[in-house]
Amino acid sequence: MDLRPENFQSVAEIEVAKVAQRDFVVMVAGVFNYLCDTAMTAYGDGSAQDEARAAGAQIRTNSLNNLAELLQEFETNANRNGIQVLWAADAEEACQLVKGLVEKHQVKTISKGKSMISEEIGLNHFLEKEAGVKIYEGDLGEFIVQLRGTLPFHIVGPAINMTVQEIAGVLQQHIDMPYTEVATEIVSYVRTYLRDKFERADMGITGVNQAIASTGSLMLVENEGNIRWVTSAPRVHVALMSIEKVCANFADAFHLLGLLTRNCTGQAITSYVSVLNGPRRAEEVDGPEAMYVVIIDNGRSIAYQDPLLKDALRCIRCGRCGIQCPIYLRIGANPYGWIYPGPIGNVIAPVIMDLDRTRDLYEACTLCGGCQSVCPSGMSHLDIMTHYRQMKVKGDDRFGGTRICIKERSGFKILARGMQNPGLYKAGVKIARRFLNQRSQDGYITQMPGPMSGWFRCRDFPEMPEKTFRQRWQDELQEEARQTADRAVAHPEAAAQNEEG
Amino acid sequence: MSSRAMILERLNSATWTKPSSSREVISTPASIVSGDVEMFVSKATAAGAQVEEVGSLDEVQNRLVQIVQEEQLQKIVITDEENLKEIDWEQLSQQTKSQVQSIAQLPGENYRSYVVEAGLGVTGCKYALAETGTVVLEHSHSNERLVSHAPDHYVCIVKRDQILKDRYVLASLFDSGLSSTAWTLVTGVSRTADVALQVVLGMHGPRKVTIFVVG
Repeated sequence: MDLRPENFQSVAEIEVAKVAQRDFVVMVAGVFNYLCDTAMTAYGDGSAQDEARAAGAQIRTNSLNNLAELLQEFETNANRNGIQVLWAADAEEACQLVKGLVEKHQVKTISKGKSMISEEIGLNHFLEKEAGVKIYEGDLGEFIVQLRGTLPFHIVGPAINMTVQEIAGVLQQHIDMPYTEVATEIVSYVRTYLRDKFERADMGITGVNQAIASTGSLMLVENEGNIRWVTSAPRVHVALMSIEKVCANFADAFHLLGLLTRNCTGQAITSYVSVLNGPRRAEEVDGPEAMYVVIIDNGRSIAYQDPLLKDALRCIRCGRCGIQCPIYLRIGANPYGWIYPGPIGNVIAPVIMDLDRTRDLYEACTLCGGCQSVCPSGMSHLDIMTHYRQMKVKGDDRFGGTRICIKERSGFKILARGMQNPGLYKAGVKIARRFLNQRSQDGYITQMPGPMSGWFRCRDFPEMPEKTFRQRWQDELQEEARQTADRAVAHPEAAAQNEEG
Repeated sequence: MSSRAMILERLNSATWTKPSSSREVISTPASIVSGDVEMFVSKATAAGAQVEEVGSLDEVQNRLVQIVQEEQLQKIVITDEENLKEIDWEQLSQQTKSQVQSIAQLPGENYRSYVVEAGLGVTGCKYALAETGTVVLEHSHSNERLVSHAPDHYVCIVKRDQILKDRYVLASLFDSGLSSTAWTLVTGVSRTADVALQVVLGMHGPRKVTIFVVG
């Protein structure tokens, strides 16, 4: 399968047929929804939970309203702590900057903590090809996906769609693990295998959950302990963060942390939260000698200028929206063709790629609002996705949205005109009914020539009934009038009384 | 124009109306609030740690002897924190016939190989959080990061008066200034659910965590 957003429809057709995967993912979503709902009760009843989410949304609003100021404050304080801050306009520049650090510090091997931004910029592939380094993902799910060469299935559980047998097969094939279907044995083998890599790595690369402006600190969240290794053992630590990951202070950061973990894995807090303030000091042994933060834009600052699209930067990557989405739960991650599947992919991908390439993503959404109802950072997914649709129709140079073709535009113009004029509407319906029913077979219209052919590719339409609703309504009224008239003839006194009454 | 300048210019030139007040404060506790020991024990236990309330560091020493003997541990690494110095490590070493090394005695080149071979790592902590059963470690040359992470069994010694109510109290302490290079909040045992949603303890960190609440 060629996994790209442009192939959404064709890949979705394949994935939707995978009944076992679908059932498993729906089961997983049910479990996580239960865990997350239970974890949120720590705030109190429903209204208290709403207040906690509202506070999270307010924190994100504050961060976005003061983004430039907070980034500069973070940079100043990080520099004071001995962290070097680099800025990258796009994925290419970010990769080149990290490559420069690899060369500067003569790095041969890299261990990594799970980082969505590194996936977004394609860092692993770039460094292995351009810098000749060996990279080991530290998170178990991410490591499996790396060995398998596929996209992460979910931003929190990258290999959550794979069976034990599939995981065992991948590990046996790539790292010579003796085949076992016992989860504890699999974990134990990978622990030993990766620990050696952690100890020997020259450079550690991580993402950033939150950058705290007031102190120039980084907050990193995990359960497995790979990030602790990656930030403690190698001589160099490079942290990658997108521009929106900054917040004002620890009060904000710790509130968001509670919302993040409760909506991510249903935990009050993860096993480890690392707060990093700089490279190791002269008398210390653990921790990097040199520490860098690469602040990556990759299209976000353009989105930021749009009053509605800036809200796409609210996301704290908890992944809760994914397990609410009826589309994602049926087709899985592959059709999205990129590293952010589900609603967050629908919202983020058009900003970073372009509106044309990602059209099927934001158009496949049913606008049910499930994602929005649980979002702890107050994102208006529906407003953003309908905004993308409007931008696509009108065309938008900023986000690579080519105006829809003249045929489609003309079709919608005619439709709009018809909907506004009852006479035209009636005439149009009459013609359309005849046109559609001519192509009916066994009560269904299964295909159509011309511009409507795409719509019928994966849908059947029932044959139009003999009469329209308006005609049936008219018939009903006429029948009622006739019966009233008949009663008046048969019982003239009763009819007269009714009229007087 | 540099990327930095370009990004900041775009962010500053956004035409939508920003509120005039620069920032709103969400929630910052006014003062330090002590946490409930019972809650700390309950939450830490739920997170997978084994928690024992003991009266003194002498009791901790006795329990450590039992642990080392039961698990037949050969190498123990300890941090150079003040409260750990009250334990007689030499006596413990003789009783258990194990090697106990403080990181203060380990030269840099030997430290890493010793800490990854150690079966037990023992540290104190700066704070603990009752809300989540978390121990908060302040890392420095006297509490190196991997002592609490590389060994299979990690023991943390918490004094009752180090237990804070929740993360918001910790946030107010952090917001008043951080001087150390790194802090770690440890809650229970390293874990993963990446193999078909089965929770397995001991992914990359300690397989076992024991917390002694002293006092």
